[in-house]
Formats: sequence, C-alpha cells, structure tokens
Amino acid sequence: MSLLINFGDSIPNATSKDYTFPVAVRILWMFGTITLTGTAGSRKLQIGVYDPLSPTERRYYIPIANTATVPGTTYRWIGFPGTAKDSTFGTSMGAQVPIAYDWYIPEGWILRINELAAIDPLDDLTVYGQAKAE
Amino acid sequence: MSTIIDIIDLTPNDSNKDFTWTQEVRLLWLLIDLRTTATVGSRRIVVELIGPDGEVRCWIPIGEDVSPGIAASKRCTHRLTPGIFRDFANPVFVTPDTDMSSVVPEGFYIVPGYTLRIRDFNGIDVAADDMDVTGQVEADTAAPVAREAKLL
Repeated sequence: MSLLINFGDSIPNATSKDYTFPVAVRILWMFGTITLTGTAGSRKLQIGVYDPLSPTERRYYIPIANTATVPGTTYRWIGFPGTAKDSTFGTSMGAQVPIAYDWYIPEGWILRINELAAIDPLDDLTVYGQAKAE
Repeated sequence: MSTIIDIIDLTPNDSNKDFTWTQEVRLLWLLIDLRTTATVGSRRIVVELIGPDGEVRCWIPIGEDVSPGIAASKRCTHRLTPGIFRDFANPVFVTPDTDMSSVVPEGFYIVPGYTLRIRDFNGIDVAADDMDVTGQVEADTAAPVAREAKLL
C-alpha cells in the first residue's frame, strides 16, 4: 500500500526549508517560489539531500535555473521527472527542473531547498510537493 | 482496481477553469484548446494545483517559460502528458491552428479539497477567450489490501 504525502509550507522570511519524513519516500514533484526583498544580489537556489549524520554536507543536489536577481520579484520553479532543465527563469519568472524518476529520500534524511548565496534571510521561500511512501 | 474519470469542459468565454474531485485522483493527461479574441495581449497557459487555503501549491507552465505567449486571434492546442517531449513554443505559435506538447508529472495527485486550475497566467480577455479542456484522471478504488497485492 502506498501513502501520498503532501508536504511544504509558505512561512515567510526564510531562505532555507528542511523537510524530513518518518519513512522513506519517493519524490513525485516539487514546486517553489522565492520572493526577493529589495536587497540587491544574485540568489542561487538548489534542491539538496543531506544525511542527518552530516547535516551540512549534501549527498545529492540539483541546481534550479540560474540566478534570481531582480529585487521585489517572485520567481517560481517546478521540478518533476521527465521535464527538461531550464537554464534561465522565463517570461513568467518560471523554470522547470528535472528530477529522477525513482528518487528516494531515506527515512530521517533531510530534503533541503535553500538559497546558497545567502543574500537576504528576509526573502520569502515557499515550497510544496508530493511524495509517496510505499 | 482503478476508475478512469473524464474531464470535459467546453464552456465558451472562459480561460480560467477549475476542476475538483471528491476522491484522490491522479492526472493522466490534458488537452487544452485555446481560441483567442482579437484583444491584443500575450496569453500564457499554466496548470496549477490550488490548496484548500487558496494558495498555489503547484504551477506548471506550458512549454518553456522563455517562449513567447499566444497572441490575439490564434488557435493553439496544448497536449499535456507525462513522459512526452516538451516543445519549444516559438515555431508553433507563429500561425493559427497549431499545437504543441508539454509534460506534466507522472505522479500528480489532486486530493479532496484541492483544485486543478487551468488558466491564462496573464489574464488577457479571460471572459471572452474560448478555452476547451478535456482530459482524464485515475481514481484508485481498491481497498488497501488489494493495493498491497498489486505491488507484488
């Protein structure tokens, strides 16, 4: 039997979001937005997986497009298996990100979506997704 | 065992359509046929998942987001399905009566309380453009025991 898990949040003033699951899950898709403050600087987003025994060392990661740079703008991205990788955010400030078809996050491991350049911790990062536990 | 549920909405003068279900369903495919009015503006169709709180939980643009949008007085058909190649929109939007393919997640579920929304992201002439939406979703109707057996 498989269990569908909806995860994510839109808590503001955050540029790093961690999600852990009580059982191993397969990621189906992830969607996120980042709304930049007025602070200038090029934000770099990534999807990372971290071992809880070494929570600052990423075991796997996927970069999201290039940089998000225009202050006050909302950028959005959608990651799922089978899509193509966009190198830039487009007309709607959107980008697609390919992820593995069978991408499992082990029990207790950390799925982290964060802004690597650490420009402004008051940016608003939103993340939502679906995963399956089987 | 699963049940296939058809999506059919051919209501004219509407380029913002919502779909909800009373059980958990998985999206199989969509066909979106957009006919734009003469109103100048660049249309850009997106598929969204809206949460019970009204917040956008997922956002999937048609084609590449760097592609030009759909101009006035055009007819564009969009075919969305998992695993298909994602077209670059530019060539097919030059002339009317063209179509393009785009990709959606294979595991994309709409649970009760959530809404599947298909709309023009730029909101050009929403109450006058004609958008037909057809598609299918799958509802798993099996009892948990049967679902376990299916995995063997």
